[in-house]
Amino acid sequence: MKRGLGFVLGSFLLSGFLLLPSRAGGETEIFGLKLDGEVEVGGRVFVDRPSKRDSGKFEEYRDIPETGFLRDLRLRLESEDESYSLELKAREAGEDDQNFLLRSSKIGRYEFEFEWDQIPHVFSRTGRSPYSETSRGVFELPDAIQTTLQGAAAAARPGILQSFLATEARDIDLETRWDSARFLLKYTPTPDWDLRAEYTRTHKEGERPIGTTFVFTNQVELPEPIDQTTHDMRVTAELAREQWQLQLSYNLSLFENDVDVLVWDNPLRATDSATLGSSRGRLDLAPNNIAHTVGLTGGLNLPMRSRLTGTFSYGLRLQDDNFVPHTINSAISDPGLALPADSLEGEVHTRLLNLQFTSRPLQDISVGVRYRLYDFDDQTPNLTFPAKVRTDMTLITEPTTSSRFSYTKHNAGADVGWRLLSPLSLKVGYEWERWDRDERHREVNLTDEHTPKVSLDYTPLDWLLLRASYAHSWRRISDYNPFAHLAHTVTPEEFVVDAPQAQSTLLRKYDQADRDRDRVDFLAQLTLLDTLMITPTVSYRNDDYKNSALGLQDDKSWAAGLDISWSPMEGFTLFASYMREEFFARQRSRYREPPAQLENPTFDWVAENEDRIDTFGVGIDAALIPKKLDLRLAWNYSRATGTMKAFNPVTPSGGTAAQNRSATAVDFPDIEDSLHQLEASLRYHITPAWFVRIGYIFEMFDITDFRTDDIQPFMGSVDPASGTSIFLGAQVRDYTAHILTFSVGYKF
Amino acid sequence: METEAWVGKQGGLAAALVVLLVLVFAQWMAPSLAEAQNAGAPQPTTEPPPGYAGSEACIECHKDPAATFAKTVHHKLFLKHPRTDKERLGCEACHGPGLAHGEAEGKTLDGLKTFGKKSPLSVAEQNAICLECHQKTARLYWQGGPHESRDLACTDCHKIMEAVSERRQLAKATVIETCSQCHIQRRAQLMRSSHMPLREGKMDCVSCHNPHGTATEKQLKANSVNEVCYTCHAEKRGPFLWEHPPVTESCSNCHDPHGSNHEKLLKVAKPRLCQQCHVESRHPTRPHDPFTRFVFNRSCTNCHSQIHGSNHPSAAGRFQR
Repeated sequence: MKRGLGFVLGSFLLSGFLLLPSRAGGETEIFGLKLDGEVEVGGRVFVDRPSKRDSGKFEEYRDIPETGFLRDLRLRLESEDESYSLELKAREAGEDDQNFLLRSSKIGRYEFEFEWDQIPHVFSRTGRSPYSETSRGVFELPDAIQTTLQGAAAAARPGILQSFLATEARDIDLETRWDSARFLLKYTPTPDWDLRAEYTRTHKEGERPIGTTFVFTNQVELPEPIDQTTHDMRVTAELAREQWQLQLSYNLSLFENDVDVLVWDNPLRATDSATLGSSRGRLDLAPNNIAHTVGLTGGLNLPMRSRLTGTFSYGLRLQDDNFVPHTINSAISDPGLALPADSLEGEVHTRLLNLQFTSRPLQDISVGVRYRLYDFDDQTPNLTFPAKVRTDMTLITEPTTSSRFSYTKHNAGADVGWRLLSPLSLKVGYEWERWDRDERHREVNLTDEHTPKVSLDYTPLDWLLLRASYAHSWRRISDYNPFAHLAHTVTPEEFVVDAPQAQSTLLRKYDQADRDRDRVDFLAQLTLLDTLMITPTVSYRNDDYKNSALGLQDDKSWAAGLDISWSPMEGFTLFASYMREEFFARQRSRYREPPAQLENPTFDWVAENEDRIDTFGVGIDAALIPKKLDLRLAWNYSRATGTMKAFNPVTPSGGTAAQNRSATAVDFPDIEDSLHQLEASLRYHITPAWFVRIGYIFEMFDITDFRTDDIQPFMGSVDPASGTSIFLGAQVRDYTAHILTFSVGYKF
Repeated sequence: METEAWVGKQGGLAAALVVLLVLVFAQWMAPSLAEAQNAGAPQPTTEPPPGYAGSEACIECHKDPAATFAKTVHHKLFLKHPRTDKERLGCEACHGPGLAHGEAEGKTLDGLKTFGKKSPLSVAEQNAICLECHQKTARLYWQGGPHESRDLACTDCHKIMEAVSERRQLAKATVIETCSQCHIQRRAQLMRSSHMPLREGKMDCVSCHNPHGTATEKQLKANSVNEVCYTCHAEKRGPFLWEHPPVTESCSNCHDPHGSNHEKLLKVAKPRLCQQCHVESRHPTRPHDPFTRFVFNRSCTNCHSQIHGSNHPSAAGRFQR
């Protein structure tokens, strides 16, 4: 019933506007106010429409029904003296991605806005599940299948499950919709004062895929119910004088999750057991939380064209949802499973201090210095849990202590710019960044990165602008503690240097590793003939993790492109663009199997991940007959190939046959996708007010992704070890669409 | 119920804080409000000051630009509802005294300030004119910001004499087109298979960035990368009982928000992304065959789904609950 509502509404409005009295000069008037606007209603017909199963990517963030639609509505009422105005806009009215905006303002004094926006997000339309959601967040299977599988021999279970899924897996929607209501009030009592208050309520509802597990061979993918609301309120007051400005702001963000936990039946167990497993699993979903942020920013103009700007901001984040018990498995109990607290009492304090001084002491000289400190202080109490239950299956009577990861980030920089010649500017600068982390829980306490940089801007001719910049940086770390991985999950007394799960001492995590970086950027703007602009651009970045024996070792990318915009005559614009991008990352790892094969160097393997993307665009905006017939044609095409190669520098040996096999690296199949988008429309102005438009849209999306192309609820035929797991079968599928649109519009 | 009470309490405290802020500023504003009543009232027509010709004189010759300018907010404010002496100068508030120019019938530009690539004024001098009124709110950090330091002119992104865009007087019809004049690679990224809804018109560059400069790197609008992301993804904010440190420090450790060919805007596909940091033992360290549950479908997050953090007492270190 909602479908086509926009079309009906638009048609009604269109008819109504025709009845309004016109003023001299073609303006429309209502109640003594000037009225102008535009309404366009029409319909779309699919010559070729993706099937429902193929439409997931097509309608990922859109709703494109085959029906009448209100393409665009814009109404504006204005007082005679143009001081007051009231505006209403609507797009895609009646569709899942509709947007409405109401704005009222008095020029230079106040502005009020209300906006309603909907964003659908489709994850996949091929999802299937045998589960029934008996209450929000609770997913159940028929008892019979659980009983059958529990009692069956291990070898028989895949066959039983496969037969069950073939008949009982039902289509499910895997999509959410975000609905936002936004209120904004801006008030400028005098040109010096600006007061602003904004409130946005965003409600997200729907389902999206989530993975759960009991053991490696017993995974269950479920449609996570999403029912979340975020309230965001911001108020700002600013006083601005000619020489100084002061701004005070406050932001409140409140997140509420109406589905606290996910509970689901274990297909392989009908009854709870302390040793054989649980009949159900329980997972804790995102907890409610709240964040307050206050900020004070000031700017002061100083002599010699100097300016000092500074910000101090303080943030407080709180989270205090009640803990769920360790397990939903009724057969597991232990005194150590008593919770040390009812809730986390989570508390994070953030502090930002930013100071910036800039000056142009001479006409051709500019200087700038800045310092920034961001402190993330997690004051949440550490909690020690005497025992835990792994995935509702296994009791582990080993104490575990939570850790808080506080850090302070310092940034400082300085730069000097010279206008060497009238068209030539040189700027040299230096940046420093330090991460100061809590040394108990992350591998590196201190990292320092130094970045000298230089940039050149050259305008030798009116029509030519050249910009180039180069930055070289080196990041060096203090001692790397490879055992921090253990320290933040076990109590210090349990700390064991050679514990099987300890990370390799050769690993350097890339966000905390020594790194040399080079970055080059180049852009040219050629404005030939006033009507022709050509913009070539090139960029290159190389990250060398020079001391990382294991982990990310090399990460580089480059991009080169060209953008052309040409308007040889009035009413005609041609635009074209091309961009080539390549990304390459090399990482090294080592297969480690305790106890004997933890440090076998022949078990090393290297992965090289590469992405190559080409993006094309071309289009025309032309007035074929001036003020009568307009043509718009736009074609965009993007294709991407991702390769994930892997190899062993040395053939694995020294372990058992199975271990050697596990250490052997193979290439993954390429992941490729491409998107064609062609949009053409002809708009004919019957009169200056009336127009008709016909349009054609072609879209074609192709994807080859070995990870999801053949994903089904039952994957035992692909991976025998997955024979007792249930997936959603959420594929990303190719689609093709040919759409014809026609619309009538009226401008007044 | 307990949660709702907690939330309600927080909301109540916040509301009280807001009311207090409003009251404080209302007290500050009270004298200014009285002034405001007069400032907003239409001002009687006055003769332009010495050296100034008055806007009507400008329009006599510059009819075409005046016609397009008439549709802009600057026209409505400066020429119809000026609030200050500066705004009452109309065209000459920005272009400078035009009497000499008018008396010379346009043959000289003495005293006038022009904008654009051919202007004899430096970019800083052109921008200073805009900043006389606009050096506040979103432009507080303009000086010293990445764009200003590379000599970007206000008129590179904004068009004052013509309403090209619906709002903000942009040089192009939309924010994305305006930014894409230089940030061509970012525009290309919008076409990637994994993307936020920018090309669908639901977001644009200024959803996350303030191109005039901010107190945060990359001209982000909040105090950190993560705080920008939490604006829409507040469920990731925590704090959680069990945190995943690279997540807590920066979402951009794993994600590229502008677009990616990999699911969920990841920079590198799983499991390889995870394996860049996880070299413990057993399955995280195995290179894997592609058609196993460790790789297909959601790869590592087939099991470790709570990768952004978990509040479950038994989720320690594995994020499976």
